[in-house]
Amino acid sequence: MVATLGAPLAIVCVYSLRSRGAYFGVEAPWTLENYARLWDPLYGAIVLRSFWIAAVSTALCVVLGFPLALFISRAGSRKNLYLALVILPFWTSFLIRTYAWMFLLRDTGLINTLLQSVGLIHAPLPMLYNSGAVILGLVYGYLPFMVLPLYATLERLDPSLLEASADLGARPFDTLWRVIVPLSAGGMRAGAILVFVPCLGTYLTSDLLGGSKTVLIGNLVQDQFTGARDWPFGAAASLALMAAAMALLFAVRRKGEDLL
Amino acid sequence: MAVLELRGVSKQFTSQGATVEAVREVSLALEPAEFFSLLGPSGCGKTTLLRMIAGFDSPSAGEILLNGASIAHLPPYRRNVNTVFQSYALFPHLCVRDNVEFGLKRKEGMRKGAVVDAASLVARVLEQVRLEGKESRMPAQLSGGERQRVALARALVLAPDVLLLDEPLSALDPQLRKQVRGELKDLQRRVGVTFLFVTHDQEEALSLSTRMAVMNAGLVEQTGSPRELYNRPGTRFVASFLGAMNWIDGVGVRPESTRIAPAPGANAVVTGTVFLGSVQHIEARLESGEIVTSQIAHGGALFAPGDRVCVSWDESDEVRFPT
Repeated sequence: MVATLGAPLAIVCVYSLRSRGAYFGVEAPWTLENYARLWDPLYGAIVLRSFWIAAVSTALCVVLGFPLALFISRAGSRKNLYLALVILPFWTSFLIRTYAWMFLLRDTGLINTLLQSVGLIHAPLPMLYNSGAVILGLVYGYLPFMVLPLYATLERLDPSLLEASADLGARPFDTLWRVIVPLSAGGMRAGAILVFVPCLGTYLTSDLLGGSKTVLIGNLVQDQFTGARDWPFGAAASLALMAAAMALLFAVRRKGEDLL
Repeated sequence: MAVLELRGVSKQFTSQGATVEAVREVSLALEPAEFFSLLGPSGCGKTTLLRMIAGFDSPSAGEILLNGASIAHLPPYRRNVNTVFQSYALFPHLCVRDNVEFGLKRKEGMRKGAVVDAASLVARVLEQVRLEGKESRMPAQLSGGERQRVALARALVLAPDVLLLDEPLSALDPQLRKQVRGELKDLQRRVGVTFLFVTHDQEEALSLSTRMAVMNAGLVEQTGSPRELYNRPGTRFVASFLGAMNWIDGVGVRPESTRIAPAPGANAVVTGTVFLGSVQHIEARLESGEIVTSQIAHGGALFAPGDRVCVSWDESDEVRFPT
């Protein structure tokens, strides 16, 4: 733990308190300047956008993941097949899968070409390089992290509770809303954390699918270490992101419950 | 008119290519306000029968009539019967009050306006099952007996035509079970609802029921009052399943009707004794080789293995079946 988690974190902490090096790296004077710069409204907009995109992606993962998890938990002998299909994309690199989305979404991509060839549209739909494309990529990439904990919760749900609900006069939708949804809240929360945190820090999806218009915190951090060569500011931004994510986890945890 | 009537109800399950006949042409009629038990060993089809009445399974053949109207093909939420589940199936995310109110809120026309009415109904039923003051507890904070009473209250508050109880005492520990048995009988008398009680425990069925049916291998073997079934069993299965029975040359005699006395006229040898507190059981081997058990009262004569004894009974206590 100390070597793999503590040491890199300590280095990032130290870097965030030093000054920018002439070409890269850090130089001697200690300073809080890097943290002060985070309050610049320019970065505020980036932070807001990052939270907004992560929140929308998480919400969409719940909306799409819940029915899917419910369906799999009811699939009887086919459960394992469906679960394998949910996990299947992990066998290919996330980078390659994101490129595949670019191939589908771009102006000369598969979808636009197809729609134009059948005459449904005359100019390509702008599907790539916007927030929508980033959200699509995130939902696609992190949906399994929502489905798996939800499935685990739904699978354990006592079937006699559903029978009791019907027995007491609840129609199927009422049983879903009053019994199944509240009793899967734990899995939903676990899934939301697993989706929200990586979405908040994403840089690859926003870089490839969002283009230059959709800069998120992750891209900002990445840029400080590469193009901008401002390691201390990059370190400060990444620590701020981590603190924000942890504060959020702390806020949503249930009383007396451990984090995660 | 019968409140609940089953006519030739059958249920077949197919599992792994084999067809299992869980329930075979069961016909029963339950009268209003009666405490009716379905007694049988596990796997005899009694729970399947209950599930068909509740609507969780549908019969392969036959009719289920509630107050004369067929309900066999209605979903559970359209049948005016309610179930007390073996595990109680209380909603763990709802407090006692919300569990009891759950059904009332689902009922048509109870959604608005009737809130005050619902509250007084809930208060009354919680008083009936002695759970006043526990309205805000969560199911996890209740004892086994309290959970069972919430399950009863939750079903009874809907005023069902028939209350179905699926081995509701089996989850309780043995000391509590007898006490709860008495309370259940009292409750049934007070609310006047027809109870259909499924159990594999003959003592429960005998002590609680006004009438009962003994099931075996999907068939109803006999229906009648507990006294009728015990004293005049209609089949060999009923005779053996209800209480103990000695079988001597094809004739059945209850251990409590079997007398045992020291010689003269010895026709048996004691093979063992079992002390049970209020009574003792003496096992003896007849000259024909058959083993009989005699139940004698506390304080009766003492016997030891090897004693030569005289075993006898009255002919009027014999149970015979045509072979």
